[in-house]
Amino acid sequence: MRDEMSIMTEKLKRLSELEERILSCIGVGDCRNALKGPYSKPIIEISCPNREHGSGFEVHFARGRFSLARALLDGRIEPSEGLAEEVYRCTLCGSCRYVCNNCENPDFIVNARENIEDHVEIWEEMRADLVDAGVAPLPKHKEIFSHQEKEHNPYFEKHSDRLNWLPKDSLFLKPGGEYLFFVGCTSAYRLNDISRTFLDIAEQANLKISISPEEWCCGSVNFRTGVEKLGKETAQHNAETFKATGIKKIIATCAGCYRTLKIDYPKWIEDWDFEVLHSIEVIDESIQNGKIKITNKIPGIITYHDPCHLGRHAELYDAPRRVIEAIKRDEFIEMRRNRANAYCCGAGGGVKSGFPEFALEVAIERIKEAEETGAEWLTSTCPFCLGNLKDAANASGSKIKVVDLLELVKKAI
Amino acid sequence: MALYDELVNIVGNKYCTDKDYICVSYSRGIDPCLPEITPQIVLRPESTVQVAEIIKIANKYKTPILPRGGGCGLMGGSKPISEETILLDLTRMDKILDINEDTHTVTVQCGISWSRLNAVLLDKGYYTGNMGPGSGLTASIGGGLSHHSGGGGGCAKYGKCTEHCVGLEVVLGTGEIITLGSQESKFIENPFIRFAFGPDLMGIFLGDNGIMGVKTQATLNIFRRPPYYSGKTFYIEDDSYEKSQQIVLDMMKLGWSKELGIYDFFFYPPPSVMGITTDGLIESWGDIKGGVIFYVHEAFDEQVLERTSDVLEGIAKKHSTRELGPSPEEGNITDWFYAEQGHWQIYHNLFSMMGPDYFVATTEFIYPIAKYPEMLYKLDKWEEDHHEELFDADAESGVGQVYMLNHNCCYFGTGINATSDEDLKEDVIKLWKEQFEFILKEGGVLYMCGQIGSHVIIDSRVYSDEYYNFFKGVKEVTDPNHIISPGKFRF
Repeated sequence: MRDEMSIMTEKLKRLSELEERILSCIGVGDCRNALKGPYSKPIIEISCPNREHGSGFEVHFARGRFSLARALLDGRIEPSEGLAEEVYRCTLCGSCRYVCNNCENPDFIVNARENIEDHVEIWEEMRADLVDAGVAPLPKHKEIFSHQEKEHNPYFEKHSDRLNWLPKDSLFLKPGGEYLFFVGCTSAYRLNDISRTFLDIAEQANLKISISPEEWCCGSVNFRTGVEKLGKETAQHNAETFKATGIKKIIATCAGCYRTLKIDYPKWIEDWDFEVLHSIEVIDESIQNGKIKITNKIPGIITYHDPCHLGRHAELYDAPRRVIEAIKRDEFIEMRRNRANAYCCGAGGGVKSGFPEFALEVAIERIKEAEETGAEWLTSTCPFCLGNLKDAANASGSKIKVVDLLELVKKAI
Repeated sequence: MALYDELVNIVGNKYCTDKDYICVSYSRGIDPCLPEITPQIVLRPESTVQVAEIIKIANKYKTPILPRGGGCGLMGGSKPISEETILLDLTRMDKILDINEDTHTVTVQCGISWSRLNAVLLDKGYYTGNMGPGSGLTASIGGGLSHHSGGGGGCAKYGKCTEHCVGLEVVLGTGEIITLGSQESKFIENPFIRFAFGPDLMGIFLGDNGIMGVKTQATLNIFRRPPYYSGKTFYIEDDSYEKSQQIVLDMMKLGWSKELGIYDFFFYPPPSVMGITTDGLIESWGDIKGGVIFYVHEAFDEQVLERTSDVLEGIAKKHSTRELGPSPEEGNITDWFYAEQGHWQIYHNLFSMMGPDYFVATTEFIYPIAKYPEMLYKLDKWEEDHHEELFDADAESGVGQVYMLNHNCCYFGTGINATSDEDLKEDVIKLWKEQFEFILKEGGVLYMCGQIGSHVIIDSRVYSDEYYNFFKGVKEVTDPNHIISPGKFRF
């Protein structure tokens, strides 16, 4: 058994290094369905999309996945493609981390999650070990990465088409801006209205923006699916591109790009020295300091979906809400699950490409939750979330208008 | 057709698995040192009929079945004892079937969690009174009813969670489905009372540790939740065992929950307090060395609450050293417990704060309030007498908290804390069993027995021969082939 264990430990080197944190899960199972809030206002958190929209076995939520990690480390089970498939059904939304045995009061420090630290990091490392073991990523991901190696995007598009939405003589392609706009793949190839809208608003706010045609995919899709090597190469290329511009501030409209540049890149790039901002932070500041004037307040109830990468992963909750407060004419009504309690849209962690039906099912649940508010507008700050939510609104016949918050801002100025 | 194929026919491919990487996640409960055993098949049935069909197939193949709710067992009750086990994950049976405001009852499938049920009830101004096991958040109704559980809130007022079960549907070990309580009559549609039509046979299935049948549906009393509450925390420097008991007894003299609205009453003995203060878990408690009590009480009327608050405070002040509070920042744990998050996790969070380096082998039990200081001294003595063995096992023994149950009993949250060391686990399990035996022989009542506790009860010959024969006879009737949870109680 000992020999088997040491062989396994060698194979699963990342998980081995995280063993203490993995053992910190005692299995209470809040991650299955935690209750938050007081008697007077209880909220039951159906927090794990995978658990609720899959077959619901223990392995589909955090407690079971910790057991799985322990069994792998003990050598009780071997890595396999079937096992990988279960591990990759997670959207990495991080809700398990948030609901994990957590007392919620700073005066009483009794939290398991402090020992586990960051669930998502453990799931990502588990994936990276499975990649090294040769049983992951999923076939669909492999296809995507094979394209990405050549064309630097996961959408099976050509790199040379990345900025087709921008006039060839655009001033934004000139160097010397104060901010570098990192467009991101979704906003470049699929929802490029978001990019155009951001640039229009930025112009009105008198922000000096440059765009680099050398930009590649941020690598989020690689880091999330455990394909570290490609992720690191991508990060390295982008970091060199950023350095070459001489610009120190980078803006992303995509929550996934933002999370990757802000949280992942500093881990992989030695001399990383950039300030990473989400577009909504910049717009918020411009509204606050009067550079953007609101002239046409938006009629109709607005609700807001917190992207996991912006909310739980980066704790950026207030800026989008301040912006909505500034542009609304009627009400801003929060969804039942919001901020750190927000339900995932279902697209992240490689799920949209790996398990598109599951991703859609989760998003339909979120659309229904948005509809419960009576909102006319469901807004968010991540093109990847928006894409999935739009698909869900179409599939479910919802009349709710799914828009990027930037689009509402543009209407309001 | 093979066993697996027959089971797939019942629940479908999606909810039946024999994949090792899925089954392995059912190899443990919360108990951290009993051997982990992976079931051969895991099923997630959605209905009573499916459960009945599964049990018939298990009989055909003479394969054991283990029903599992929230998977929060602390004594090996929610994990397999043998590898050939078919594990029933009952959490898919999580529907609220009826909230009946006329009979003040709720009928649910037993796989729903206490927290999910109460979230819905609280929205309507009700609760289950006893909010479920200390596992709180994720423990299932079926699990709570199988163990006479408490600790998730409300024990001092509402007692054990089994006390308010008025209807129960059970699949027997034969695959037959029976309903108990008032629904023993074919002519009663909505259950409303447990004690009906002769002997209380529902009691056979309550607190049975999951061995007499599979609970599929339950009806519980529901109560209007009083809108007003208050709570205080007090520090008792010396003689806290006796003084805390005196506070309880004085409050009882004046009416306890009926007159004073007491909802929960906890006592943290000095070693437990020292653990909290040493680790700085509640900074405002500073370095206090004695015991701590806290209570929460409720009322439907604000003025009544004010009056009872004064009475309770007067009693507490008479026997304590000083108040910790009144705000949470000043150390009053009650707002956190009742109004924030604590009531959902008062117990198990104490395990999790230990982190990966320690685990808890719990020996919790029920004891009369009239004698709890004596028992605390006896447990202190047990620790002293076992000092060497505990030292060798890198473990310590202690009582985390004593919390009041109804008007005459209390739960002891006691056990052994040990360093997570594979080489010492056997020694810890030996001490665990020894402490169980000691508690049982000192008159403690085990309510959650699981694998280890039920074995100690039998091996220590706690039952009279006559009772054990009777118990076996009842098991023979409900589960003649010993299909359900074999091994517990040495069946």
